[in-house]
Amino acid sequence: MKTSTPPIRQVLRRLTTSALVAAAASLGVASWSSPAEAKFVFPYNHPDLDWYTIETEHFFVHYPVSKKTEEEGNDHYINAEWSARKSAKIAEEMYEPMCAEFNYFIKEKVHIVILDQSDELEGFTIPSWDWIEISAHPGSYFYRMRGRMEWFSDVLVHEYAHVVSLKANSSFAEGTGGISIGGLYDDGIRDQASGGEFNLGDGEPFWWTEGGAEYWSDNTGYNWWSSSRDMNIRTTVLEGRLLTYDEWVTRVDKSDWGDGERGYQQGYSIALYLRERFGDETFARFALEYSEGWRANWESVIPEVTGVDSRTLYNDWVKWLTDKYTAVYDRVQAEGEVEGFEMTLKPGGWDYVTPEDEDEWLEKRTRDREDEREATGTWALEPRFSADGRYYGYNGNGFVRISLLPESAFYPFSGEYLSDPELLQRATEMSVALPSNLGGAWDFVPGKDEVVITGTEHLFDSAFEAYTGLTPELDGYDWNQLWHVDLRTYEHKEKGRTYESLTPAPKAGRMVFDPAAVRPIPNTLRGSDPAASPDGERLVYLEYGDGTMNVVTIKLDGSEKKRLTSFHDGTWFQRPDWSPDGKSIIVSMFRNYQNVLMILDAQTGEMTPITWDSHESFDAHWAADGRIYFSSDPGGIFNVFAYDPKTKEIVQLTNVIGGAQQPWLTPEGNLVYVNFTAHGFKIYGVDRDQWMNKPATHLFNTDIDMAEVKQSLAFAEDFSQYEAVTTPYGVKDNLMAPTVAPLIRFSNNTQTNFGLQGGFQIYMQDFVEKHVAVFQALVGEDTDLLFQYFNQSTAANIMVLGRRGVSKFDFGYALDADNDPATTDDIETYQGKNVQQYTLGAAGVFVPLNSRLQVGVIGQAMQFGFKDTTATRYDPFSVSAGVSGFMTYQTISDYYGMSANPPPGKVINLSYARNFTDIQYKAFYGADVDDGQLLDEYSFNQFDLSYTQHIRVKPIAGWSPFGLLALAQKHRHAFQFNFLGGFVDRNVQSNDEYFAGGRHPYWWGNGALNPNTMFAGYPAGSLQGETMLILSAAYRFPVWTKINKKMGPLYVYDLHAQLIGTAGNLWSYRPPTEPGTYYVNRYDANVAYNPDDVRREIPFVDYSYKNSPVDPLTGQANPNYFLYDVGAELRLSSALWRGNWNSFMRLSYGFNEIRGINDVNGDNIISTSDSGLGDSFSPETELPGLRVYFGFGTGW
Amino acid sequence: MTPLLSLALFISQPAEAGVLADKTMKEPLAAREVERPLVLGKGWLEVGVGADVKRAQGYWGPDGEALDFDSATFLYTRERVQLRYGITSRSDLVLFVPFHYLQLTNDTLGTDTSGFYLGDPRMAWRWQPLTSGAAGELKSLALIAEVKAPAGNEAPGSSIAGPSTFQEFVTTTGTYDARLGVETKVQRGNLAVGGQLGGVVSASNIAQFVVETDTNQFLGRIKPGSRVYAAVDLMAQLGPVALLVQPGVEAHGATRLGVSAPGLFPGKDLAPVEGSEGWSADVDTNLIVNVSRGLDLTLGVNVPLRGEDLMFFPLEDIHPTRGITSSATLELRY
Repeated sequence: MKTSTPPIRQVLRRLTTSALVAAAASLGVASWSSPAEAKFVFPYNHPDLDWYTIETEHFFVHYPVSKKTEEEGNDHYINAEWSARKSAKIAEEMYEPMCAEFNYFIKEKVHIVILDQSDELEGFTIPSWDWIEISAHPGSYFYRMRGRMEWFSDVLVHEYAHVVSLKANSSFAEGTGGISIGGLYDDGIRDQASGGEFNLGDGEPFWWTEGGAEYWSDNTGYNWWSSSRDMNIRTTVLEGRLLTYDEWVTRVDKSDWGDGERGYQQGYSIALYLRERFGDETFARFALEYSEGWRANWESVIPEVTGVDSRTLYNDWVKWLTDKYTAVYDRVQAEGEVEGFEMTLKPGGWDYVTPEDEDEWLEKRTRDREDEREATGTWALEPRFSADGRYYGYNGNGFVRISLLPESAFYPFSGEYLSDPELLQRATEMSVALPSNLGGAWDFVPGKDEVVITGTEHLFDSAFEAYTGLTPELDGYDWNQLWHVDLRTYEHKEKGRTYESLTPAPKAGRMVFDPAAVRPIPNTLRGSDPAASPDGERLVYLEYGDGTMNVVTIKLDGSEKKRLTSFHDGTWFQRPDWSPDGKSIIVSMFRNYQNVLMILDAQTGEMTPITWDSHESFDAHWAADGRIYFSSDPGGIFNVFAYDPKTKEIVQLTNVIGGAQQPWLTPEGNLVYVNFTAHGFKIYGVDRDQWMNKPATHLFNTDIDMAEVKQSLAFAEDFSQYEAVTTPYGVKDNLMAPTVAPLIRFSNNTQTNFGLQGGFQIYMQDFVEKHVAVFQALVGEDTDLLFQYFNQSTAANIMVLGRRGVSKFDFGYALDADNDPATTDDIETYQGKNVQQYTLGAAGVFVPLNSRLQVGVIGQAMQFGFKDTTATRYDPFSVSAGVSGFMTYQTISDYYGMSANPPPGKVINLSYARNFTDIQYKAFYGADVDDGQLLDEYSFNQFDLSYTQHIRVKPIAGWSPFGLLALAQKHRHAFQFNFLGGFVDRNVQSNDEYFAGGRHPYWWGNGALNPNTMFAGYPAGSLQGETMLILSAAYRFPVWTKINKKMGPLYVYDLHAQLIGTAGNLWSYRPPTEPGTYYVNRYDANVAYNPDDVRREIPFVDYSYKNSPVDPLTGQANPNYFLYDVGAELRLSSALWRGNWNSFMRLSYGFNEIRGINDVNGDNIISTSDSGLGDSFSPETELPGLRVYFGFGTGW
Repeated sequence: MTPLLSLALFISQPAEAGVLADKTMKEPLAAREVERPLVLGKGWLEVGVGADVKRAQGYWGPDGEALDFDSATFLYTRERVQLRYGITSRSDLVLFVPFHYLQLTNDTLGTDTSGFYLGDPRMAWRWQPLTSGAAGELKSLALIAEVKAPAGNEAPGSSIAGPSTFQEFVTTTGTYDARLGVETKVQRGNLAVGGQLGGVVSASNIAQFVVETDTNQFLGRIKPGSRVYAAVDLMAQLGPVALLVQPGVEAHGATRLGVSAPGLFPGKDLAPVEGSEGWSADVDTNLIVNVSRGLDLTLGVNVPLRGEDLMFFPLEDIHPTRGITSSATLELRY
């Protein structure tokens, strides 16, 4: 769980504070966020839920209950009442001790929202909003990293520690959270645009924030330094993977498997060290010191509190850790390390034998060595061999990977790596990766080529889904679900060769399983951890409901479901397995802070413990030899033990330095297990001859008092007192205090006009996000008022927006007395200024069809007008209105889309709009001329399509010339392809045309999914037309990764480069040029007598007259059929204070000389000379040249 | 028990709920004006609404003499909204948005022109690096940085029949101003003394009211003269009522006019308007009623003592008319 990014950033992402008026008669586009982004956790609104609220002395706890009951046929029934009551109880218990940690007793009530709509760990805390969201389901593997503890106290105390510590720490008032400062200077003469953005807020580091939340949970008695945490830091220290002093300040680059968790545990660890050295209040004193006044560098509080500078303190702590864990290592070595070997088919570089190999390995960069170590899997879990020994499988990063491989193929059991290429190829081909739930177990079905896996409701794509990505998730639920999969063989043909595989042959690049071979098991929603009975007829699995796991048996066809336990009190079972005779079930049970092993009668559910102590004992496997293999931590390190039910004796089988979990006995009687290393969870094997076999019965309490057990099992907390304080959720009573984010904006709209705006943004919502409202006011020479409201209480999201802006705009005119550009003596330059205003209203309905696909309808109307120096009021220029329907298909989340090198995926936007415009400008007699046509009132249709595809470079069907593609794959080179197409079906006034040209991300938002690189070689808005076809591509590669340097509050971690290029054009309509078909109006524009004489330009056939330069002497066009540019960009990924702060430098060269309307060359002087084509366009042009863009903290 | 715990003065009290409930982080704020430091205090939001009214019947001559309009009366009002937020313990942000109702009547010409306009908003950051003192002995020093943006109306309307035919009032200089200042306050019991010292620099800008006179079509650039100011604050408080008297002086440089120069310094070619510099003095007197910690009512009067001006622009921000200004302000604090 985590705290939020600064609220100010969250809020600002919802709106794009674009400058609406870009040039003297051209109109930008008002933009709004997609409501799918608006909710903090789920894209779905879940109108099927009612919400209830428990009010206690210091908290509100909100929880969902389905409107439709199970009896009424609701198979997704939710009632999180118990979870909410438990949370309410713990919250009140922890309030006083946690506040006392900081002597900061919070007056305001904190709202805790219990989520139970998914089977994943969800949640966050925004302290200044007094808001905690947690899921009742902790997910399926969280406890492996933290240790088994009661979920609600674990998570709530951690999150409330955030609330108290960050409130106590903050130097800013909670109503603001900081100040947003940004600016953009665009210089058309020098062809550069430079922008910057800072969100000036508190800068407490990751290690203190998250480590502190762990530590204060410990200090208040709710948490402890568990064996799992020790396993993490122990391996991290011994394998040299500690986050450095520079690295651990931020989480922004800690999204890989291990560094994020290290940040938590390193922070917790140094807190314990500081407690030992300086006293247990030290960590809290940092907050109190910082709150005295904002500091650019948070770490400067450390020497003031401890008297030791922060880097020295870090080094002292590392030495303390190293000494501690070296001693542990020495002890394990002295006892005799029993670890076995990793279950790989070929040796890794680290498995060196000769000194030369060792040198070669050690000469590699640290990061390269880590990558190689991690390449064998970071989340390799649940190893299994089928009972007949033919198949081997495990869960690797959420895929059950099965191969036709005997255990003799693996080094741990054979003593040699697989060298037979035919066997290796056969193993590779006869394999399959089945999508699954990462933490949920799976199993072979004895006697059959079948497996049962923990998946989700929409686990396997049908052919339609595979090709379209349109998985139906209309109800917003994708719960865990058990699946039954046949291991069929499929015929593959490749390069003239036919072979068999467990994987379906891809068709058109898509893999589709035979629906008859992959079957959801009925009646197993919210089920996980299936184990097949020895006769292959039944399953035992775990079923989740309202914060509790229970044990259930069922037949493979979904019939004869039987609940063996029926707890409703947070009891949490884990990994059941059948006894060889099928009469009993071994399972791990966590209840009342005790993690023990239980044997259940498979018929009656009667429970008999085999351990009853304070150790964490879990991952039990009842093997064919009759013994129960399990993992436990009696010595502080998880090792594999074997329990003999007959003798009740326990022996220790492994003695590792990491952590041995999830044991499984192979058909040959060897051990496979999961070993935790600093490079991930790895699957290891230990030959039975290598087992430690050390008697360990004395380490456990197996002499169990059954009366005590019965008493414990019968214990139930009484929550009846909450009934009287539970009421239906009311929006009015649960509105968040408004956040007011101060905004300071700087921009220039011409060379000589530097605008400064100040204002604020107010954000408000209720705590279950049914209603969200944003108001923004910016005042300065330009003013901008915006109100936006989202209603998220129905299946569709409804948005209403109102916006009004006034912009003062100065410009120059170059008046050419004789209209002959060849004579320059008679050209005089004058300056002018006018005021433009717009009023915009919009409303939209957005429907998320699944997590990738959203459709919607938006209606909008806008009035736009001018006020010049002689006017007494705004003269309306135009009124426009339109209705559009759109579809967005996106396989990359916005979050990842903003990264310097987004993962593979696509974004498609498709829209159709029916628009209406009425030109009302009195000076033009209520009409305007565009492309030789007099336009007054008109309607038009508009079709838009944008497509972005990110592709990771890799060998093509094994082809990698000179190894380059393989090298590119290794270094994550990427190719990005973008297409932008638009079609307006008639000639329209300039403001309704498409505009193109280089964009700076400061005004238009982050652009990785909507690249700002398109036509970056040309000035912003300099290209226009009614037909738009633009293709662009980028080749992206890392230049310097893992920089990981902290400079004051700035942390820099990656540098990427990309080469970019664009081709395309915008085509318009052409005014008539034949004598007698037009007249010239007072603005020197040719106006057709017959509108039919205005001809539409045809892409690829015609050049774009509007974007083509004209020879000033001959009046002849220098045609641009297509426009091109190329460029290069550097992307620096960094964090400032605690948030993302990404910067870039872009150079782009436009190859074509262009012209267009108004100030094309960016000198802010609008020439009115006749262009030679008989219209009023300026003859000024933009010559081919280089444009430079800088962005500091603006994204790309 | 930790040392920290031993220091804790834990008074358990029910938490507060609701949108506008007080938050723990909010700093203490004195109920009486004389005891308050110069910045608002972390977490406090102050909303002030008020109005200033001046009925001017004259102006200041170039040599400081008080002159009367021949036959005109100018009603100048300023309706203002001010938001002040204590963003940290030592600093607050201020957003000041004025509006103006203006009326010019001329009995000789028989004209009566009026209008309501947006004025120029100001944004300020006030930082209090020094504050100390036990109860009743406050010392406070604050620096203030303020920007005024030209949002007001700068289009005077058609002047085809000459300047006297303008139909609209100009309520902005058309330029950005930057102010840097220092403020102090020292309190002893019911008395406090303080001062203000600072300067204002205006950036040049094209303004719609600076119209070239040949065609009345194209515009010029203006840069109002820089200003320095100083004032003394004298305060005495009895119960909830405080009296604040602020005599002050201000000197301003010459206004400059011309056309834009190319490059990053477009105002470098502007020429000063001869005689447009000068100085002025006034006294501001305010009666502040601290109704509660969250509500103040202020009644004030400003008396101009001396001015020096050309009165060539009908712009109060550059060349104020002469008259006594009465004001009233209501401040709500949350």
